[in-house]
Amino acid sequence: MRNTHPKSVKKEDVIRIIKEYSEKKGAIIILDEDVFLKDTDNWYSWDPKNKILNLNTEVIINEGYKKDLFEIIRNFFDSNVGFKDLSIRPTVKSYEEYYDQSPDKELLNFFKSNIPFDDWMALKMSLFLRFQDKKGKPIAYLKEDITSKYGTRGANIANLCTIDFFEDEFKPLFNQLEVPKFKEYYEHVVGERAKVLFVSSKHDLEALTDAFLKTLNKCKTHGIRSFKMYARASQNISVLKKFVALLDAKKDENFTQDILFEEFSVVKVLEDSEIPTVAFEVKLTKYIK
Amino acid sequence: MNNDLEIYFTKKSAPIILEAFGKSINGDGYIIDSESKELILTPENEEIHISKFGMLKKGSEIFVKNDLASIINHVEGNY
Repeated sequence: MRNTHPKSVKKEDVIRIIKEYSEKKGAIIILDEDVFLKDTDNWYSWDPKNKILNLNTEVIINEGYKKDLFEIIRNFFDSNVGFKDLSIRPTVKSYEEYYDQSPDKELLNFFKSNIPFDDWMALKMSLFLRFQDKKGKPIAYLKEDITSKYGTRGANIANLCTIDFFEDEFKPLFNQLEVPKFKEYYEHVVGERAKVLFVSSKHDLEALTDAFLKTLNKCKTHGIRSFKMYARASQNISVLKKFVALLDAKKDENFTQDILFEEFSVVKVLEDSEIPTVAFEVKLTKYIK
Repeated sequence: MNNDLEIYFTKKSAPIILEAFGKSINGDGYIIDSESKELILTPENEEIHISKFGMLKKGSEIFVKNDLASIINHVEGNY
């Protein structure tokens, strides 16, 4: 149940109401929240359960209190209260929770001085994305932010992160290889996407064949002996399984491009119906070092 | 003053917050100083489109974007 105020607005009421509710422990002030604006043409409402003070700035300003409103806003700011976009509130809260738990602190510390700084930042963002994904929270916008800031390389890091590649492949390899060798391998995977092929909604059979052959050729050129093909979500899984079935059939007429079937073998290495996800490993029988 | 207080703006009220601090939006939608007309930059030296306006933080005035990298820096206290 919300308390609302009748339409006439007195200046002293504006100042008093805002001051009174802003001083309550845990109080939140929202300026012009959509739902509040649609529900009423009052200048404020107080939700005691959630401790939210909704303000309608248009009414306050139309009543002639723009200057007072600005003074109130600046006073809050001078008292160290910042202002945030309401739409990022869930993400801020989620990241605060994640940061408190720090489940990936060790991994981040491990890679901090071992990979380029921008990659490390992309990794940090990607680990949070993975955390959110495991909790069933929306992640498309996070992936978009990563790609927007760090391009295809960032997107690739996010994909690798999702399949625990940094823990399961890069970390052990860093401990096994000389640093220059590790860096070369790292660059192949992250920079050139040689080791992993992710099937996405943009892949139909023809696009997947194209991506497969490109990945195969990169591996052959760099002496990489295998790569994995991953698909998540039922549509992508369906496309990948269909593609692998065609590879297994080894019939030229099923493909518009030449495929040398004897150069590789394909084995399923993962199928998880819960996520859902499936992965196949492509082992090269011929490659150039 | 209540140190727990949180204040949020929406797309509708973002211009109000800007105007309260002498800022406005130019023809291309980027935040500028209303007097000097100079573009306002984030701590990362990036211009801010109004659609990307995420936070206004204390420390003179720190304008921050609403993307994940900025949220991470805010939560980790890097601004």
